[in-house]
Amino acid sequence: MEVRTIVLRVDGTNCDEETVISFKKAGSTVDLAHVNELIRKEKSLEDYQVLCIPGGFTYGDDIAAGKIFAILLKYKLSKDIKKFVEEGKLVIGICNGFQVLVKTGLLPALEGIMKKQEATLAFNDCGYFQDRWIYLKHENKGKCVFTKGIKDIIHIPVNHAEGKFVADRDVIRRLEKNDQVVFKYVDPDGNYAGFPWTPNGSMDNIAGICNPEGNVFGLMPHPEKFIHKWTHPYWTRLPGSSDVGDGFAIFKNAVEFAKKKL
Amino acid sequence: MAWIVEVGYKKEATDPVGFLTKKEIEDLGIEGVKDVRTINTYIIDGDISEDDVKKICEELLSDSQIQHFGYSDENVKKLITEHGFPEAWLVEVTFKPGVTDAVGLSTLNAIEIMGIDGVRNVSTGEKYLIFGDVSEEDVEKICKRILANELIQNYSYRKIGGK
Repeated sequence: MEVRTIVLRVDGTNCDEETVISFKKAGSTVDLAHVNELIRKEKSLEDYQVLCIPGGFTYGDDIAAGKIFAILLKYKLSKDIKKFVEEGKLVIGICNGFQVLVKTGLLPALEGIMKKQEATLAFNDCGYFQDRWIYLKHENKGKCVFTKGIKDIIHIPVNHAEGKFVADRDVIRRLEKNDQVVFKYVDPDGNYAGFPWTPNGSMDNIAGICNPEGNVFGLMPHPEKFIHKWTHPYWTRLPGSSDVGDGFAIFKNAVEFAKKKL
Repeated sequence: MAWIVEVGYKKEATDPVGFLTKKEIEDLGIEGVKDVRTINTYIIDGDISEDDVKKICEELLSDSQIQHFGYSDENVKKLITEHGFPEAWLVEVTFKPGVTDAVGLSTLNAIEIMGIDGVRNVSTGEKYLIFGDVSEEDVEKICKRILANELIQNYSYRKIGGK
């Protein structure tokens, strides 16, 4: 069965092209659409199995990163998106997309889909934009559809100024209990560590989470920037013979799942 | 009429811009600054009800997890009491007339998306609370060198709190 993915673009999105390429490489048909095409009903979410909100600086990060895009989705498309998630279809938000998903209430969605904002992504503790490669440890025990069978520790780039995951202690406890924590920042040996290994000061080193059902996933680092091994800063010295980068598994998993189950 | 909305960080949340500003002041060679906190201000000009303003503040302008909002100088007073310093310098930086306020325009756009009519204009500015023992001369220097770009921004400062 053909898997159809929609990558949503809006003023200031800038990682849309490489996200499209990643999904295509994983075997999906991909439409890059401006959000207004959905609002004007020229395109419909019903035709797709995967929805992706890519990275960027939507609306210039004005007020707070992802805030205005989140308001737009909440006020104009909430019914369609709710239905999309309820049907078990896949939603992924990368970087700015993660900020949007958290601020619309699609993540962590402990109290229900788009009910309220339960967490946030605040300004990095160091005060600066962080743009470099970091290590992530896969913490999920199997709930998240996107990361099944992924390597234990992956090397991947981050580029953000507002990526510090903040929530009530109680919310974080529930995330851990529900198996909703997907990635945490670690040092090269896999130990939890502070700055610079955790680039933003996230609570409990959290880098990515999923919803209670595992079909909505958001993360701050950029898997779409490491789908070919030769985009790695020292790829000629990487062990193993695989041609794909660590981030590719996330797209592959999504497309494979959609092919079988949706 | 115009509503003056202020959004500041909760006491337990970090204020990264304030933290960096404090560092920059120290790099300038000015001593005695104990803490710097920032507050974003939005002046919402239009015929809208208090309920709508509250909705805009809660859903759009502030992040309930880390920030609180208030009107007029409420937030400034709150920060001063929270911090327990007897007084502080309050610096206000705003755009000069005629300079495009990009964040203001985005905010206006977002308010329209929320379906709230009647807002004519939104303009933004920043407030900085400088706690500690700093002379007026030094505050002038801080404004000129760090906080304001005089080509496009105006600044003003005054001492608040005190006995």
